[in-house]
Amino acid sequence: MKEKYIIVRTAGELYGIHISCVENIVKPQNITRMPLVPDYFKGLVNLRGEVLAVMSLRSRLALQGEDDCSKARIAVLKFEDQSRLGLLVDEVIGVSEVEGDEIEDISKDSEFIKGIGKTGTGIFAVLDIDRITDVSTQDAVSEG
Amino acid sequence: MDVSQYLDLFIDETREHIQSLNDNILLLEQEPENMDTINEIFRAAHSLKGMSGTMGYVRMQKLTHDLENVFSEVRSGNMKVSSKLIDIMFRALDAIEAYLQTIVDTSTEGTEDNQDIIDDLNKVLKEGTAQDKEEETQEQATLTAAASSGTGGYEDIPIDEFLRGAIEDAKEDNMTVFGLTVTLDDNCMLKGARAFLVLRALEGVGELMKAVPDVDSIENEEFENSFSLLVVTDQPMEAVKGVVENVSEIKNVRIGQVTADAVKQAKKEEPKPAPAAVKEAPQAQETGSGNNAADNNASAKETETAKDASKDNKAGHKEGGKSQGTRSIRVDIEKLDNLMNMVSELVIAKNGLSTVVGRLKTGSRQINERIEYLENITTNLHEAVMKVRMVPIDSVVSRFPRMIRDLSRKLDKKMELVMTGEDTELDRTVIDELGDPLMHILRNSADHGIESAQVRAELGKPEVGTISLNAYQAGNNVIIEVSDDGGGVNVEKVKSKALSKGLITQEHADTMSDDEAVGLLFMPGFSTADKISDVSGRGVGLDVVKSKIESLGGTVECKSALHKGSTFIITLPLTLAIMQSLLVDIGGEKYAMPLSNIQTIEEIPVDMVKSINSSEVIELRGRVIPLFRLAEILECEKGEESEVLTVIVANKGEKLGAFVVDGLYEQQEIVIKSLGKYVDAGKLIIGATILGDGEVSLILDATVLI
Repeated sequence: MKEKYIIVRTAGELYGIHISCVENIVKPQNITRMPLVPDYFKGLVNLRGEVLAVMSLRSRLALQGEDDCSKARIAVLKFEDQSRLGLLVDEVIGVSEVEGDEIEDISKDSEFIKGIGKTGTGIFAVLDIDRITDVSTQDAVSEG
Repeated sequence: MDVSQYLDLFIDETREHIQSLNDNILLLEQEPENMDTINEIFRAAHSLKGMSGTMGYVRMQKLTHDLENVFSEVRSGNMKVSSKLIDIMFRALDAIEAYLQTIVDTSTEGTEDNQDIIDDLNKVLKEGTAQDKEEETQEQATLTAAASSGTGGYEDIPIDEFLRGAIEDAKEDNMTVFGLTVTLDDNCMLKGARAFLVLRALEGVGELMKAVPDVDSIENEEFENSFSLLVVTDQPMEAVKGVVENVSEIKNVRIGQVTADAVKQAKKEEPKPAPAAVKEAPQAQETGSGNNAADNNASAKETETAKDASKDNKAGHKEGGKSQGTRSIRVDIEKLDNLMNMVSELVIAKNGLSTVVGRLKTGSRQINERIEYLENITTNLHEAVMKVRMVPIDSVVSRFPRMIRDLSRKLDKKMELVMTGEDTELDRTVIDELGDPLMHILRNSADHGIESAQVRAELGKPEVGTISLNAYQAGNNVIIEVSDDGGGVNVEKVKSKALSKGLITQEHADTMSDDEAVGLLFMPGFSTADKISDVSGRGVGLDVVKSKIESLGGTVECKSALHKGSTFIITLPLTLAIMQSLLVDIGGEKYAMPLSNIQTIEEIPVDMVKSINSSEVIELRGRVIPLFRLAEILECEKGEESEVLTVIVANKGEKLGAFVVDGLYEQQEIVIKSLGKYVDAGKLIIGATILGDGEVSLILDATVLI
């Protein structure tokens, strides 16, 4: 059974997001900074008249460097409860089809990586979107 | 027949009837002789019975039937209203409400028979009527007499001068006037539709002269099972009867010729009250002429009016009908939300347009005029839609008099609730959330506020404590005040309690003002009741009330004077979706601040800022106001320090705060958008909005800092 992944690049590495999570891919424009929230929240953008919170994949994975803006895209993730979250990546490479059993399970080693998959161009890390978007454990920032 | 499609309607209407019964029984307790109230109660109970029967809820029908019987006796004067009766009525009402809740939850009425209540109702009925046995026998005699001469059918249609004239005219034209009493099948579902078909069929063979109840009422199903008509026609009796009988679900049709002579005879009997009006006799129903007693009452009334103004037939007609309230329709709240969203989009589009035009260097006067016009329209449209979503707070507070009555019994304290401003309107979404906090405050007043009658007497206060609920609109806010004339807050007791719970330090307690001490009541985990009762003090306290009100964008305060009483003041915004805001520059970023709590904007020289306890304050017109530098709080990049600070003074209740901003843009109507569930910046940022140029801006409720 083949599974489709959106392959993205951030901080020089390739990551795969299962296609069922991604509603849309948009160019980042005018991100409004959001104070008093964890650093990995890049800010808010206007997504066709609705406000979308954008998370930087680089910051979320605690990778070094600044977000590279030239080819940056926001992957709009949509969840079962109709909520949305934007995931800012350095570049979107394309869509890859991978056999389910070709994904190597390494979930025990990393907090946000589910496994490793192979494409024609190389290997990519499959992102655990549920864990990435689980911000309930974020450092509580008290008001004032 | 499948009735599930009527379930929502049934639930809605049953709620209304239960509320109406609650209100009116309370009223009846005050004025046991008030006939209007008794009639209203009877009507509601009767409708409840009919509706639950139609929906197939037999237990509920049985209970409402017995309740109706009791009211019926009260209405006919066979029984007096006693406090015991009122208690049983309330118990029955609670049971009906329980049925309704079960129906809401499971679509079935459950298996509770409430036999004890039914037994009590019947017992009261027996006792009550036995006392007036003699009276009843007399009634019975009249009733029997009436039954023989015609039982509330077409013969009882009041004939005024106008009708008599018409009957005589008809005779001259060789037409006949027939009286008909049409009885529908007991299990007929769409009575109004059937009745309409009957009327239409009759219009095919003749002309309708008179209907009891009137045609509107008939078509609106405002009759029990039968209605009476006078028809003028050139057709024979059998033909007229035939067309009516052709309509399905008709149980029987009684028809007879009406002549001017018969009318004269009938007229003599008129001064007597309509026979069946005195008592809704079950046997009358079975004989198929059981005109709704309420309607008979109405027709009796109509007769009098018609005599007074015999020339003005229309006036008499109007009196006969039920008083009509404001015309209204039911609309699904989702449709309104949808409409509201579209209006919000329109406001955003309009803002975008004016931004674009503002940038045009060659912006002509004409374009600006058109845009101003558009702005007027969108603002008015927004207000109109908001008004549609507004609901009087009556729908929340109307259950409180009953609650206070029950509390009064339970706590064994004498108290009454006085409410004003029930017609004050609030957005539907706010109303839905308001019930619990208000109930909590009222319970709090009843439990902790009002003293026992004995204590009150010692203090020289009136024995009956008063709790008042006062609602009114003030600008863009609605204020709800709940006050009691009870003991007030014992500041020392509050302080020692807070100390023992470790909520404050001894030093803090000593320097604390009385107002601050009263504010401790709203702290989590605080309850001053010495014993935990099931009225209030179940661990959740006023802090829950506070957070609920704040989640609605409102504030709650308490003022108290020892031995004089306490007042809780709740301030709520009129609307949640769109608001007027002031756009400000903070550290180079654009933020929107709600205009509703901004008092003034001041220019303050830097050297006017003082420091007290290592926090900054300014003195303004004799008041010391804490100063907050928003750029620092919002972690903005540091700008240059200027010599003069631009300060926005905003209030939260009576408290003021001064907020330093770096610049002011304009005032704008903004649409509040949710931030979604992933980002939470605390209470300081209440949402975001999309400005005219498409950029996202955060909405800042700086007053939470105060």
